[in-house]
Amino acid sequence: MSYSLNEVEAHSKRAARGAGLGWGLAEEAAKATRWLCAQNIDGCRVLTGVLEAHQDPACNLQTPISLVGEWLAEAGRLCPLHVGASLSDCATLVGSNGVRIRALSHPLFILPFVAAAARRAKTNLQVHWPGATMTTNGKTVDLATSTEAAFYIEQVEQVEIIVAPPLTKDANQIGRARPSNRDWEKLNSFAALTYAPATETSRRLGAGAGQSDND
Amino acid sequence: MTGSLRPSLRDPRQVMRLSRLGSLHQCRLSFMRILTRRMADEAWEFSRPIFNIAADGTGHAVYCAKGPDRTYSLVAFAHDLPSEMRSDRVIAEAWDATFTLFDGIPTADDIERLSKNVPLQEAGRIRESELSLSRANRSVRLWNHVVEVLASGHQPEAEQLANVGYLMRTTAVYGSGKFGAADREMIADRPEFSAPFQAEMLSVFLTRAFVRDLIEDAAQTKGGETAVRLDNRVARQLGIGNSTGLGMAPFIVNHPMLFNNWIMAREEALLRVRQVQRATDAEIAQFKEMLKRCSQSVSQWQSEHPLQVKKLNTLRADLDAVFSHVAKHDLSTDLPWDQLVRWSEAHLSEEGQELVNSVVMEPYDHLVDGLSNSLSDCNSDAFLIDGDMTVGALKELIQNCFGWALELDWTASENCAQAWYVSAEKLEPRIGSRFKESIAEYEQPLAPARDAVQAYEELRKWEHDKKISDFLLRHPEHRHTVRRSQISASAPYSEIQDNTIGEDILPIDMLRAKLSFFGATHFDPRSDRWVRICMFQGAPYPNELTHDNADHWVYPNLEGAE
Repeated sequence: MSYSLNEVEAHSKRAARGAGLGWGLAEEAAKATRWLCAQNIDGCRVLTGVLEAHQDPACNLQTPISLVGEWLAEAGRLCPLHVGASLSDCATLVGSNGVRIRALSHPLFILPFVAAAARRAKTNLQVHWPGATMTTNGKTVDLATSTEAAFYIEQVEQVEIIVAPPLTKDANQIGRARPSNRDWEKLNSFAALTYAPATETSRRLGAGAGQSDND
Repeated sequence: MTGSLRPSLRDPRQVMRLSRLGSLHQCRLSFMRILTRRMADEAWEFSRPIFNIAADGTGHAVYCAKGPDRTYSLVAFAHDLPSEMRSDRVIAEAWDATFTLFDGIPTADDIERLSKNVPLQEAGRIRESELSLSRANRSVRLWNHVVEVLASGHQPEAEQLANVGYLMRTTAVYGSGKFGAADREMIADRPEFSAPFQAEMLSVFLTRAFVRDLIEDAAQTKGGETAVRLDNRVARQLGIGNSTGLGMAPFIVNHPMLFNNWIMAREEALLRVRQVQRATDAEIAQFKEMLKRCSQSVSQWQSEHPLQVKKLNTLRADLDAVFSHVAKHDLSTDLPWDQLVRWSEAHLSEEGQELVNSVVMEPYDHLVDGLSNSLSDCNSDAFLIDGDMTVGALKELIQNCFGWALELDWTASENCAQAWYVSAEKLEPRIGSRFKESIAEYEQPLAPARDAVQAYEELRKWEHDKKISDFLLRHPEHRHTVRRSQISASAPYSEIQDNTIGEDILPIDMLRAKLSFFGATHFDPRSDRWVRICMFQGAPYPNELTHDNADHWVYPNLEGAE
């Protein structure tokens, strides 16, 4: 089934919140998922992986110790959503010097944030890890040298972001997403955690009692 | 004239209070009026290629609206709904009629596919070829009565029709990607959809034509040769009703830049009019005419809700005061509209003030209408946080935008009595008591003022020259507040300057703010959480639309006038 990108965004926001992220990060996770889908990348698959990793103590997802020099986790792996948000925040730095990131979970999820940094810094950025190289000007992305397995990989030891020459590829955004049922349902189950169970009070008052609505 | 008396944009701290937002009225920038003006200017053509309604009132119809480059079609399905299933709540599962706006002219296959999905509404799926999904129920008060009267060869009494205002009420008009429809981004570059909610407004405009045809058809079936059609003048009095609940309230909080653009456009329009040095006789005459017609509309505005009854009584007294003020004071002096606005601020309620603000814009199409191009939000990157900003600069933004909130004791139960949440049962936004219901852990981020204060408390512990990127690395929970604060730097009207979770919050104020921009009239709150309105009442029907009637239809014609 195909979904509109607004559906993807709304669904992803609720799922990220349901997985325990703050509202601001949930909004950014949702925009990132939407951006990936618009590039014909399976954003829902990537987000599902990120949120599952968040639930898994063995993954031990962390934020960078510092935004100076290499971005590292104290232990465990770096969370691509937190890293992505910081990449976008630090667009000036990333857009002029690039950055190196160690032990990153689900690296593909930082791509939309690198794209945001590229737009803010008005430059082109290249993201590279073994087997995958992608270049973006913020609006579009060139995945020329990436293989599927390397592309959707669950973790990498090192990611390099560098300033790149202009893209020759034209923007080719698509307006629909076709996530797998498995991923959509998984996101749905995260999203469900944000819904308050109905009670007698909420049924009676939640939407506003009042005069008859059938006259 | 001293500098301090020169008109200026109104302070967001005045404009963005909930009670004032809950007193806004339609104006020249309302989305319905933008639509009808454009369609008339571009000489859109309307047709009804299919009207396939059986004797029992069920079937489907297609209404086409042909613009300069594209055609859009309302595909309408009429159903036989047992009266016990008729409910205006968004949670209903069956309706008298269901609709979609199709991008183009649907084929038989399209209609077949839509017939299996549109009647199911939320439980069905539509595609990117569809731009909206909506449904409507009959007004029980009027429908059968009007069918009977028309079937017997008579016209219903115009006044009774005008008082209810509609034969059918929509209970939701979904657009922008909902349930599989096309995203707004797919159509936003079309000139006809550049202003907000134009596809949704078009679907309602065509729905109104369908409803008229449907009731005339029902009368014809019942009365045969005796039956008559609705008189044009009577039919004009009928709009499309709408019941709007809490689902809409979060919108103006969740879209700060867009909401800013709406308010900013209206404030800029008001400022331009207040800066008019001298009004011409024609402009003064038009203002007076619209004021009279507006007063006619207010006299037809009914509500049983105590709060609105009180507001209406005050508004009627306000109108009397305006008439008497205008009769006594010459409008051909310097800065006449600025003087009038200042007088209204000193003498009228917020309802009255905002009505005056809307009516003074009427003679000034050349100053106001161009602002309809600035209503949309085209800068999606305003969402991105500038991490290079210093902690000190961000604190200043919060002080500017939420200074009042920093003074409030947010631990006092009356200041955080409510929480917004989404119900598992209906997946709709709700508001409830934080301390009496188990909802706090499901709270939606719809209290920007409280959240800003929380972020501010944390920011105070940081040195002024530290970067926000470093602050957010340690405090990602404040990202949404930082984003909103940075948006407020370029969007002064982006934030409601009031407590959205206080004990005395009236969600209907948030609903009305949004609906007034649609161009809705006759707000009739049915509780503090949902409101009925009327859309397109007084408007020409598609085939009647001309340059002359495309704009001021919202003001009823006076007795004896066309």
